[in-house]
Amino acid sequence: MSELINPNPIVHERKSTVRIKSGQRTEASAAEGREPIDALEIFDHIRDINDPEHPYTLEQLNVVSEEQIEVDDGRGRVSVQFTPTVAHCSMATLIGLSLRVKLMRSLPPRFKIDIKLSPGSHSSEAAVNKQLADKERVAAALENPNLLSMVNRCLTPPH
Amino acid sequence: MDCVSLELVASLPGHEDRVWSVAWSPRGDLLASCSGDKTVRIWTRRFGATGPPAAITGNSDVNHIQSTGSTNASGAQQWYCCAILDQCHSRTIRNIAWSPNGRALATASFDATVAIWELSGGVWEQVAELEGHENEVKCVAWNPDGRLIATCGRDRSVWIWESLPGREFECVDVKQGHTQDVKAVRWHPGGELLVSASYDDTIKLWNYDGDEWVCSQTLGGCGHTSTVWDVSWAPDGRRLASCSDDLTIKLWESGAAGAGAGAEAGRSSAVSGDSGGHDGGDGGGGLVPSRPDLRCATTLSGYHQRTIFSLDWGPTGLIASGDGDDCICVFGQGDPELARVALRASEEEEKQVPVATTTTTVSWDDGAERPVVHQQQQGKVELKDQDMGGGAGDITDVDPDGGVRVKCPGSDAEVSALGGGGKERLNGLSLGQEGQSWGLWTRMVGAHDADVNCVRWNPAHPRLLASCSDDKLVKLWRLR
Repeated sequence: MSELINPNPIVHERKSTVRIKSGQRTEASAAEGREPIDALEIFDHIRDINDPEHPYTLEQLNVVSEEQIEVDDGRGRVSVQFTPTVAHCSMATLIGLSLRVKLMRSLPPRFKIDIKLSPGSHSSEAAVNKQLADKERVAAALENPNLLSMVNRCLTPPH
Repeated sequence: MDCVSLELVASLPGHEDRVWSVAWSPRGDLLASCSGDKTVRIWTRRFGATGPPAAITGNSDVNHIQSTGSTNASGAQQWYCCAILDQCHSRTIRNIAWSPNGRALATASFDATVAIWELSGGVWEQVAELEGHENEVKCVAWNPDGRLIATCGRDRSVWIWESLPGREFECVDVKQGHTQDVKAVRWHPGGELLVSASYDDTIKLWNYDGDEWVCSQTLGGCGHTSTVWDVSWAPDGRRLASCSDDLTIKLWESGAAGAGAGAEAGRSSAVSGDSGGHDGGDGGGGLVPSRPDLRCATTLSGYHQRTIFSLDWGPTGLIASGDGDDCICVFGQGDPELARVALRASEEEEKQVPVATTTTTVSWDDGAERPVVHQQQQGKVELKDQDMGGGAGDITDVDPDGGVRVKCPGSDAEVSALGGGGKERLNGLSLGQEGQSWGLWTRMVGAHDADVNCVRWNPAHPRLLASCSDDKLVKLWRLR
């Protein structure tokens, strides 16, 4: 195996999060008889995604956090920012792709999902963001069996 | 309230994955759609009392689609899938294009190939394969005389192919000017100019210098600030429209044409309703292919909230656009109130059409460049655009050699107009006023339940718009 990009990442504890019942059920979602989707719910979908090169989850490496998620349930918008452990991380696109695929598979199709690097977190921030936002490139990537198996490996739950 | 609006004519399920592109046949009677499900579907319509649909293709099951079609003089119209083209491409089919004579289809796939299909003995068959791109092919376009095909893709190149006798296709040039994926290629209606749009944020114009295809202009710099997803020439070829991930639509005019605008005012208004036909003498329409000198004349911003994936400049002079916010917009030039009056008038004309006075037969004789139109007129009929009304022909018979006879219950302007030499101007419904400022005429929020990937105006029924989406549906809209 080739050399690791970040040989010694800082590993954080998996937080235990408690959902605080907020009274902010919107009229629309109350009428449909469902709870609105919030940032914590999105976080629960992505926190246990495996890092492509370390035996840790994206939460343990602080790549994703609840604070970096914005949700507008009414308009059907989810925006997730992620922070690679090093600024030249060549895995950034793969991590972003895994985040997108996980949310595509988990959320109702009415949601528009935007995945971006957190500002200043990567040396090729604009290029990576542009690639992750290009649905045609994403669609083509997911038809590539090698890439798809790498994504699926990231999405496989720990045994 | 909008002066004009889009009314849903039909919602066509069938594809099993996102639908990437739609393309109308040159006569406007068939719609092809292509999808991530690796198939092409061909859609056509039948009318209430004509019984079961004529099988013009035996390739696949004939799907009976419940449509929300409206009722008119000739009864309820129903759109249905009349053919499925499959088992050819191993990956997503991204784009499709009809040959100018309507006899062949080209499909561009992520599997790096382009397939050519022909209707033969009632069945669509793959007759050729264009191989050469390194990876995903993203767009394919036939030039107006059907002699050349342009393709582009992720390998950053634009390929020009020449059609040779015996269904052979030869690559005549590979252009490497773009620095990133090339998203779209479209030919100028005059045929001597090709435009390409790219992920590198630029648009390039290519023309043939007698030896090879050369880039005659790059629209960058003060142009788009993100991926250019689609481009469309005005029907008269004098202007170019582009749409981008930067959420704007830009309209480009030739600097030369702009300078002479005053002197040409009379001519301009005469040209504005021309339905895509070009007179051979002035194919460039003020554009010199070797020196197009296009400049951004108008930027339409603030109308789309997410990536604009597609746009199409229709025969009436209106521009439709579709975006990643499930929305379709229609932009027009001048006063939309005047357009509404023109629309009303054309709807009224449609209702007064005498029934069963004209029989039109269209045949494709082998060797003929275009369909041959035989029209018998009984009584005096004024030929007018019938839109989706009485003029629509039902395909009633198929010759073993692939010819299709079309019988038309009413007058049949669009068949003769588009099937014939293209000289007639029978559907000259002009809604925009050239020289006036552009504005949003109508916006269809939630046109689909997901991203709108492609919008295309019907060339023969200029008020009819097709769209397709990640929601796996093809939809048809009528401008009212």
